[in-house]
Amino acid sequence: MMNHPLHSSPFDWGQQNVRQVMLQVQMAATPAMFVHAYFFGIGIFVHIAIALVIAFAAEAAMLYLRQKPIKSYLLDWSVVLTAIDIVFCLPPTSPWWITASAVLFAVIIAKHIFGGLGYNLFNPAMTGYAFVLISFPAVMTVWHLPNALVVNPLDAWQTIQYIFTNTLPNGTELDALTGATPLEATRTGLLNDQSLSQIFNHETIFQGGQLADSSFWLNISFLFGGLWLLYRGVIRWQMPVGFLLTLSALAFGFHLYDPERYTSVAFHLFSGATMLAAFFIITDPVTGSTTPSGRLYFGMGAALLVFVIRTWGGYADAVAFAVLLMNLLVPWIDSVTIPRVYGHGSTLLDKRHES
Amino acid sequence: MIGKWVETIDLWIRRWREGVAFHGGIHPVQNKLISTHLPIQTPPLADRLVLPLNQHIGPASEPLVKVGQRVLGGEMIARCAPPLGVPLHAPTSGIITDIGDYPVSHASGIPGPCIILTPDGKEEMQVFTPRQLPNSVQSLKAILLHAGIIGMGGAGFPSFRKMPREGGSIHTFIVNGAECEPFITCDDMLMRERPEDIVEGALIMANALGAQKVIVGIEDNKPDATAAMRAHHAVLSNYQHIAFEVKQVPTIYPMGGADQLITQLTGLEVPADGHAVDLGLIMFNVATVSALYRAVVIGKPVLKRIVTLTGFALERPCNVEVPIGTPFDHLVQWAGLTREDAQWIMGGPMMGVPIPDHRVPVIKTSNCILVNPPEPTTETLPCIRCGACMDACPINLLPQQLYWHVKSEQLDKLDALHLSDCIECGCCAYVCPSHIPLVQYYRHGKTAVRNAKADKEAAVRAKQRHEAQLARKAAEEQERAQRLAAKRAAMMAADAEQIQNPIEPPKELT
Repeated sequence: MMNHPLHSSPFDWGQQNVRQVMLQVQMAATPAMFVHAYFFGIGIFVHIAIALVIAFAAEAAMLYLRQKPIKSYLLDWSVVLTAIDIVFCLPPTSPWWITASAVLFAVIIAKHIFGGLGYNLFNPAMTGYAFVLISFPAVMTVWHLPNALVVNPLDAWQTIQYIFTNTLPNGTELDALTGATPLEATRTGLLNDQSLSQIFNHETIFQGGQLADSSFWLNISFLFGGLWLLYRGVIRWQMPVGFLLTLSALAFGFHLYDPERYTSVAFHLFSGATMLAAFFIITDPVTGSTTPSGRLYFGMGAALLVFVIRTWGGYADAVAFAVLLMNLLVPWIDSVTIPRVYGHGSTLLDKRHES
Repeated sequence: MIGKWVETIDLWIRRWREGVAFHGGIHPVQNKLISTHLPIQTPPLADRLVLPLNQHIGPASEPLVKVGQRVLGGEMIARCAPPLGVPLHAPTSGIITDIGDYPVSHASGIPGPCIILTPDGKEEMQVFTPRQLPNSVQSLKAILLHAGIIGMGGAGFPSFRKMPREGGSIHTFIVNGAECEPFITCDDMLMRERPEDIVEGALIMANALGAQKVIVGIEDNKPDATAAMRAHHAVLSNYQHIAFEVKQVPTIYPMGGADQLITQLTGLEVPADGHAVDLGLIMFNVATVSALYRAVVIGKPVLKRIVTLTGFALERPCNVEVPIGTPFDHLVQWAGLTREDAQWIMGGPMMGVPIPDHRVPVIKTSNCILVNPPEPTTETLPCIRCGACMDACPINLLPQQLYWHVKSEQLDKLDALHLSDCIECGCCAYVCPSHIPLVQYYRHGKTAVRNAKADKEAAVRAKQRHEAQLARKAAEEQERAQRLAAKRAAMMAADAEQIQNPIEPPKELT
């Protein structure tokens, strides 16, 4: 690599740095963290603590092994984002080693083996999540019910005990604490040949709409965090717009075709990890497309895959696989979406000017 | 098609949010106020003026004076073959004390040929005679050439060479008063203090070119300059047939780039393979227009220019009007240098050139001497592909892909991504959160592409030469064979004649 001292222009640098970019994303995710805690208890904070400790340790170890400057690379905070993205995807009371394995896999394999920040081909958070989803499917598909739906929800200490030792307080059954997510409930129902109206009316699965509530409010909080990021210019509009419009269009078309088999636009937009994906996951700069229209195609492709996997695939939600598959296409997308350079060819605005 | 829509939506968002008509751009800290609280100053004359023979883009001029000769202010001391460069004039009266290589303000730091003039302090000037108002492109060109006027905004392109061949092809004359570089205020002060030079100079030029319209583009961080220009035009009665407009444009770097300002003011894009003239537009910097005004009304060539002396390592930052050739250190000492380790830059912080040798002179294109405390060095982190550089690029390149390709020396990719269109404005490096010195990579890449092209052309030429040589040999061979055959046929015919029994020559030899 060329090593330049700063002896030619520009001599002035902006104030922004990698850490600030990452910090703003984390700030935008904070409201969702509290909404999560409101519905599911403090499990998320416990997991974030686990994830952060493991992530920093793994990052430092890898930087040491790769002989990189540990302090400055560690303090770019990118690893924090990876850790938090993973935790948002995991069930809030999953055992500690699930988080630990996902984070370790993400940091060591997906990030550093590929060359560290900036060089990794696959989104580290989604790679880590997919790793535990495939490796430990039984644990990963048990989702903690919102506390409001549980007769005796776990308190803070019991949550910590459960996460670390897998022991529940006397008299509490696991079944009483867990259930399916709305997406899973819908999927199971459809697989059992129930119509959507039957599924949504089914008291035991949908619990009178309260289950959907948690999902809805989480998505809303991600949406607001994402809009703030857009306003701050941290993320670009193409990815969320491409993702959400395509998902809406597909959901709208199929729902119109058969409302009893295909869920509505609102259901798709506000269930599962839709908003998390639209504003926090597919917008990962390192593994996403880097051209203006490439970003749009990247979002559209991810949405298409999410819809296909949700509707016909083997998993209830699909963001991780959709993102990883799209990561594979990024070099190609980038190479075919080179923007028009100033003075080459014409713009749409040009033609208007002439006419 | 989707790509064009994405681009258009992005431009609409920018127009709506900032009123900017081109892609990219940045908002660096202006730091302009530190040099605008004093009017334009006149520091004492330096004891030695260094006059580089190559201040413009093009070949160096030939000196017309000898060492020891006394010259008057305004006397032509060097000249260039007319179709290329402009002449150089003695800024004041004095003795030519040397002609030779001296340090000049160029990034390479290589000394260039200069004429050294030791002023005698008498300031004896030639008699200047006002010129007739130019009424054709030809007469305007002649004035621009003889007055030694070049693009004084920094480009250094001889102004007469920018002119169209004939009148009538230009409809809009644009005056560039954007001055988007941080710290620099010389155009601002010129517009505030001498609006008549610019307004009338622009109208004189527009009239000679047959243009119907004059637009002055000024960034909205210079309300005083805008007001002064508007006020002056309001009292002007000549040239009523030319529409005159002072337009405020948003403050965004690089608004003062020629192509960017044209797009902002007219909505047109200058084609990559053409010039503004092809669109019926022509643009000059305010200082250039003012120089033309003086060349016409007083008959005075370019002898002085306004330079911004600024930076946080100076006691009295201000604008000064100084003779061409004044050494930087003379001016900086006059303004009061506060720290010895300061970094000296010719131009602004975004596109300026570092000056390691402080004795270099002010030339016709020197708009600013920036003397700042040394920058704290920032650590370069890996590229996170965030795309901030792409969003900041005013010409819509893919800076981060270019960076990868320069690093891996993939020269064909650099060409395909139009690296040569890069204007080195520095926006990409400014916004890079990893503090990667992107522009340096592009300079390196441009040189590599140029060298590779030259090598390739040389190889092609060598191949052509070789093939031509082979063809020549083959042709010679054939010619000799033909000659031999003809000779043989003639001999045979002669023989046949002798024996009265003609034989036809073999067919393949005819």
